[in-house]
Amino acid sequence: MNDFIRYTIAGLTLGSMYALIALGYTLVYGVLQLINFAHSEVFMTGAFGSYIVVDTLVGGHGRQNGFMVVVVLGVGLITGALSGAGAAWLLERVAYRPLRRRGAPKLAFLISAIGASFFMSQLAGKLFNRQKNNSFPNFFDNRVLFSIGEADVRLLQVIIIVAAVVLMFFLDRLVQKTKLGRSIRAVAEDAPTAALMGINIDKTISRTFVIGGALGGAAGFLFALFSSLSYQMGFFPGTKAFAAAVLGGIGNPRGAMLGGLTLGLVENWSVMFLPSQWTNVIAFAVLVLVLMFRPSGILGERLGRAA
Amino acid sequence: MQTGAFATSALHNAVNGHSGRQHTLSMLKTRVLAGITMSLALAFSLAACGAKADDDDEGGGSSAKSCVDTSGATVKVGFLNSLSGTMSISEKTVADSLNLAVSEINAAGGVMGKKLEVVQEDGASEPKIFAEKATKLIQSDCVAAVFGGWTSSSRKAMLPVFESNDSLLFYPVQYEGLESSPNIFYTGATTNQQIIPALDYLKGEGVKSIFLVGSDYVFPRTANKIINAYAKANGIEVKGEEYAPLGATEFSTIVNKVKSADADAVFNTLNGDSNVAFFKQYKNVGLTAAAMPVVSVSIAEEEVAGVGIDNLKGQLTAWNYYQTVNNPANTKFVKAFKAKYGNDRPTSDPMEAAYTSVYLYKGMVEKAGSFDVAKVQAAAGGVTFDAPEGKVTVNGENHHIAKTFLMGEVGADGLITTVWSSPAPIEPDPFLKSYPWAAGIGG
Repeated sequence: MNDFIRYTIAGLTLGSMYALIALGYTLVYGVLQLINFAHSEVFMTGAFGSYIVVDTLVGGHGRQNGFMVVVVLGVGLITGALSGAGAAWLLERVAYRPLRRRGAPKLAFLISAIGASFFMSQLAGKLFNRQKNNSFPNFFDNRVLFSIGEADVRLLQVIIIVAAVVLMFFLDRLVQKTKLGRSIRAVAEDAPTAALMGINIDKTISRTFVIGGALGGAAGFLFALFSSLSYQMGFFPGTKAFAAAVLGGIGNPRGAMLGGLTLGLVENWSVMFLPSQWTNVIAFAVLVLVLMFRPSGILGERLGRAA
Repeated sequence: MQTGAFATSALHNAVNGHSGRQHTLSMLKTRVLAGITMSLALAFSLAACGAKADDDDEGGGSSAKSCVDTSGATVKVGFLNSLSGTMSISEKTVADSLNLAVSEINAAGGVMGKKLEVVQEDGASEPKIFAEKATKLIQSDCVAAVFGGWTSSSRKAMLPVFESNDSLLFYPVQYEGLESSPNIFYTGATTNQQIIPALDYLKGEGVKSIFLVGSDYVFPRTANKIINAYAKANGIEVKGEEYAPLGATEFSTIVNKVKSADADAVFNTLNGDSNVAFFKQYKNVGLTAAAMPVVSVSIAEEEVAGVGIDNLKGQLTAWNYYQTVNNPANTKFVKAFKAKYGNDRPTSDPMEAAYTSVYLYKGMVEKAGSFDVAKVQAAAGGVTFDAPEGKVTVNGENHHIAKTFLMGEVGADGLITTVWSSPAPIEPDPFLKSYPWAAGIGG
């Protein structure tokens, strides 16, 4: 039972990071019907962006006091989100918009996405040193906040889950309630008609990338805080988050959140019974099973119809 | 080797056989990259061949015959290290210490009165390029011996080249054993000089159960096979054996399993970036070196800073050399290395093994009285050198060297200090023939 609680907490921690990344895939898919394979590198950019700032701020200064910890976490989240947003904006400008202007076939977008993904990860390898392993300075004490049975809940887990929930809440409000959210949904529903209604398609698409990039970048910060950074760090979480987006119903933001949490939990629960090498097998088997019975994912709706 | 440290970081993986990333997109990326690199390399080497043929009509076809020229005042030797690509950071340190050894030897009069002239080549972190460059060094540059290689896949790719050209390779990195070639001298540890004594140490410390964590490729799998056999024969319980894909950075499931299993110690054969993530998350779930020490076989001085001293302090490492080894040869080596390359550069096991390999070659040549491969091979057995790690002796049969094992502990200053050492240098036994419990592993 204690094990179950421990794996559940770990699963929620991991799953909330998957969910944040998955939102980037799903939002872009919603407006462009494109899987942005370079999103994993947007995530990585967020991690490095926040790392550079946070390391400058508190690197080598040991533990910080409570106030500074909050400040540094805030700074990390914001710089992560800004770096991710910037990378996603640039990506859309350079890798996708020119293709869209010329009415390129869908396959061209896919290749462009993979190319951009390569480019970004190799560039990061060049810039940030391929082999130097980085991890955030330990600027706070990851102490046990409370225990459920014998399962400890630690500060970092709470930070990750709370940050992810807050970000997802705001995203949900943004998509459902704001004018920008409405235009995003309109473009997703029917771009030509949205354009006739006076919605600036280019601007909406660009902003969708920026929003997805900001979430992915923030997730990059959280993930790096929790684990480590490297120029190839995007691959595994990126693939999982993509799967999570599909699991929840690609194009549907609430589906991405649900899919991310489900995947995180399934992965962690599976190791109670099987060696951890099976984690990915189980996770993707669940994906396949769900898709067999619900081909459009758990929640299954497209972004446009989500409201 | 187990691709050492991160050294071998992360992905060197991507490009190196055993360290290949195991997933499709990345694989695709890797293949595309490898393809491009290879075709470029091929184009260049073809160009080089063309030039060579123009220069020297006779030069061609004599691939099996040695073209080594030892009549002049200098003799050429080849260094083959990855100066580019994912392995370059690790392998450049090896190239540096090889160069240090050669400049010391030359300053002291050379080998049999002849100065060594270095031809440096770049293996580009790609086994196929290692094989091509080895061929080039032997056939076009006519070097008397080659020093280098790091990953096991690079060594495996070069082995047939050295055997078919009957030339010599000095390989300086600890590795998974189960190999022996008359054309290769292995100056890093084989398993019975690193893994087995580390287990002896744990047993001596009263460890009754262990948990195995490794990256999913040949070195950890082989190492864990040996560890399991050892544990069975010595009454140690293996409470779990978990593998992470190469390049994995998510260890929460594994560290939770380690925590639940509650073993006395963890044996870590992870490589690359995975170590940072693993140790960080190990700490995250509240596990400590005092409560459950982790023994690592791929974390040397250079990797400590990357993983974070904070995350590693008090954890154990298994090697045959540390910068802190206290003897005159090491004091001299560390001082010379820092003088040449900078005070902030640590010295580590593979670097020391590379440095030692050049001196052992010198010893073999001088004992043979010739640079001739067959004569060097015949003279190799019994050649000794007072290396920074202590006295080493070449085993004439399997071409490995007898080395002393050192259990180390990571200190607050990021350096590793010896906490236990084998009473004497351990004879190399790459096929584990002298261990009854290992029957079936050595093959």
